[in-house]
Amino acid sequence: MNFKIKIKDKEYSIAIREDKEKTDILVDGKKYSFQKNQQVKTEETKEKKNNIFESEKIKEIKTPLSGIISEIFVKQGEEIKFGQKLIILSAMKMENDILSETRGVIKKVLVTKDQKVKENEILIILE
Amino acid sequence: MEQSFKIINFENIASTSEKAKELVAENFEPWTVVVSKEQSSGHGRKGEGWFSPVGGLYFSVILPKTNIDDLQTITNLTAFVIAQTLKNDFNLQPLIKLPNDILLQEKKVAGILTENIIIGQNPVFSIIGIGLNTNIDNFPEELKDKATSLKIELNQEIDNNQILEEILIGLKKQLEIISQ
Repeated sequence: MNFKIKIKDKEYSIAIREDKEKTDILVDGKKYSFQKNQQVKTEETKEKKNNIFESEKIKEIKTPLSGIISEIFVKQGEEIKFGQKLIILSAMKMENDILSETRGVIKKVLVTKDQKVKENEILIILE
Repeated sequence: MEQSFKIINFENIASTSEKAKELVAENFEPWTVVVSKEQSSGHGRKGEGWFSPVGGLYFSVILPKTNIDDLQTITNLTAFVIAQTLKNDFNLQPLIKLPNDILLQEKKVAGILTENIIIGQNPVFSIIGIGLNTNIDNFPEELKDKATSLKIELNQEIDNNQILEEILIGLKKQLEIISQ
């Protein structure tokens, strides 16, 4: 198969030759060979995925409201599940149950009962 | 009763709000209402008890998701709806002690507790619990100076179902403005 492609005003002649074992791609006469069944290296992609995963992993539980800690239901070293009740925060004369948005192990509880907290303050750190 | 509410009646449960939380976990929809003729552990903020004998009106409403900035408005609007219902139906002059209490003659006649369930930084649902002293003849000694009922003030029986319906319709009208 022969064709031409234009990249940024420069035209290239491309020829693709394919047989059972390999594919040759000729760009302006220069040959690039690809063996069939050759393992494609995917390290770069994998690494990228890992980075995304790490950045999405939740390490801190914060309060979205200012208020006073009414009750704490978990302690250091405890394994928590998604949706588990962690803390009751009394704010604006309402009771707010703060549930876990992830599963994990509690590294440290930074607050104590009756402590005042501000919006976005970290309550719990996860491992 | 308007069809847009799902009302679940109980004879005696610990707390209508605790039951409502259980129902949310079982995927009950917003505007499900839990009503109980009496509560064995009715409570206000910080676990303070709410006297809940037979005769009073005790109910909790599962509300649709609300923006975090609008949470406080829920309690205020509910207080307004209850006060307005008492004024319109019985020509009373209730006083709203913001945000949680409604008073008659300086005594508590209704209490409101809003509870929000928050996952991450977002409220996923809210439950509003209401205790309204309707047909209560007597209060224990320690509450006599602090609490009253509609029956004591008006010297007449109150139709709990009718007042429930009026409050629910009023709540829905007001809260739909702020719900997502």
